[in-house]
Amino acid sequence: MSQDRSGFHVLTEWRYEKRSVCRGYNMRSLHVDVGSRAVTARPVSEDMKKRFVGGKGFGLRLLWNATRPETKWNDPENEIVIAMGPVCGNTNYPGSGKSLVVSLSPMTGVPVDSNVGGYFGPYLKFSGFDALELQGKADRETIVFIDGNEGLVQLLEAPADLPQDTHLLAEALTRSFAQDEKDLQSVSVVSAGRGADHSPMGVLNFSLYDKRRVGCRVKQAGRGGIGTVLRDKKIRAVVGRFRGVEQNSNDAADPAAVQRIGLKLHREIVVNDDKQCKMRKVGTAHLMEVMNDYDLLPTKNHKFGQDPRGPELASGVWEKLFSQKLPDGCWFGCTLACAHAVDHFELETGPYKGSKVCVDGPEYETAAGCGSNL
Amino acid sequence: MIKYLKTNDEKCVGCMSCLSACSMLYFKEDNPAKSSIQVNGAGAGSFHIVVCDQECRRCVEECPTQAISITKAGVVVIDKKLCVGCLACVAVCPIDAMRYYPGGKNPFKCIACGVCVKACPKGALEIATKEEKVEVEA
Repeated sequence: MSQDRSGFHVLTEWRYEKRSVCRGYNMRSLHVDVGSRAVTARPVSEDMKKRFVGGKGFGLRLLWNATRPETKWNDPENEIVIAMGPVCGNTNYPGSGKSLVVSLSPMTGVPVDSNVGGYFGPYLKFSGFDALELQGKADRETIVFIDGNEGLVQLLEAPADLPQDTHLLAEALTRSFAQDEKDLQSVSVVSAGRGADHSPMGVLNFSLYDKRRVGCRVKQAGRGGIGTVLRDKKIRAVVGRFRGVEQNSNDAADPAAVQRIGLKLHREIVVNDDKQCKMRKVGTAHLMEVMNDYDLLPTKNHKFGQDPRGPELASGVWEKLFSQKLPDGCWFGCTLACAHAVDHFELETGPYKGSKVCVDGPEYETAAGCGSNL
Repeated sequence: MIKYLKTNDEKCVGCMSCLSACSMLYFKEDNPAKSSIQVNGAGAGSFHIVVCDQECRRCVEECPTQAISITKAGVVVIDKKLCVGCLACVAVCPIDAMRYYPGGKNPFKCIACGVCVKACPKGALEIATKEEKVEVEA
């Protein structure tokens, strides 16, 4: 497979000096204005690091700086900030692959944050930035490409024949931007599908290339309609590439201590998870029967706490569908691995009826919100 | 067929020659903490040798980057280029045969090379082969 990017017209190119993470921080953030096509690196101050710990803190700080009290979600100055905390991407400690997305929400008009897995956040961290700010409104369908190995940021025009819906787009872009077959896992795509063009609650999808399933899976920053903001900016996708994740890519002061504590947690999860949370087998969907049994399941718009048809939505139903009887994580080294996918799943309704897709099993919120609560 | 290191606890006298040979070959230093083979005291002058049986393969299933694979000879090996050092394999190993060194980037394990066999003065170790267990669907 060769890198075929001939259809992507380069609008802007910006190179930056690569440097490795120092004690969890890069001390700079990446600002991309898709309207004026300006790409800049902005320093992160010691004060910001101290006061606004973590991805959510950084995200809110940067959004605060970028907007005014009268800014609306669809103003060009509204930002989508993807930020990661200092331990993001650490492979020893389960659950550290998450990034935080912050923006003004089309649903409420006020700031919203959403937590998401997938490879994009850690790759961005190791590419040399603590956060990514997307601002402005593009005049054409734009793709932002960040190559952490080359030290390169490009704004590209999306080819006309590029698919728009996430399950096809993530796959197409991963294959276009990976250098070879072995590089597929080094690419992560952030995008929003067609639904985000027409609804205020569009989700933002973060992809990860699953080697075992030979295809992309996506995790969602589902809260507040941040996908709608992305589409409002005419950004088709943000593509991140980074190769070379290591045990101590975060540059911990005492990597041996991180290993020791991480391994302790790994072991406790492996031994106890089946008896307690079943995250490795069914994920958060195991809550369906727990909530139903304890009269807590959102039912009929929260009118009731129990649904007589609850068992039809219980985790056992999903577990039968999961196609790989192995933990299915969304970041390297997360032994909790609460994501569970079904590949070759045939769609029964909608425009893709009849086609086979790889899809993650539902989280508890989705199963309850779109199931018993309706 | 699976190539593996066959151990005989009864012949072991706890001299630790195998540990030295192993760590010298792979880490260029005589350090028992960096040996893929371990000898534990089992009381009353007896010893228990811990080493990968190449058979359970739970680490192969668990590895998030598919850095752990099985060679044609049936040996479980780690590709250091793909390994991200998460130590999930160390956590799932039921007999602690998957090893790591504090601060080291990658875990390590026995690949049935046989250097310890030559080092053992008592003949407690040998490279052997065994049939793969065929899983019967219930």
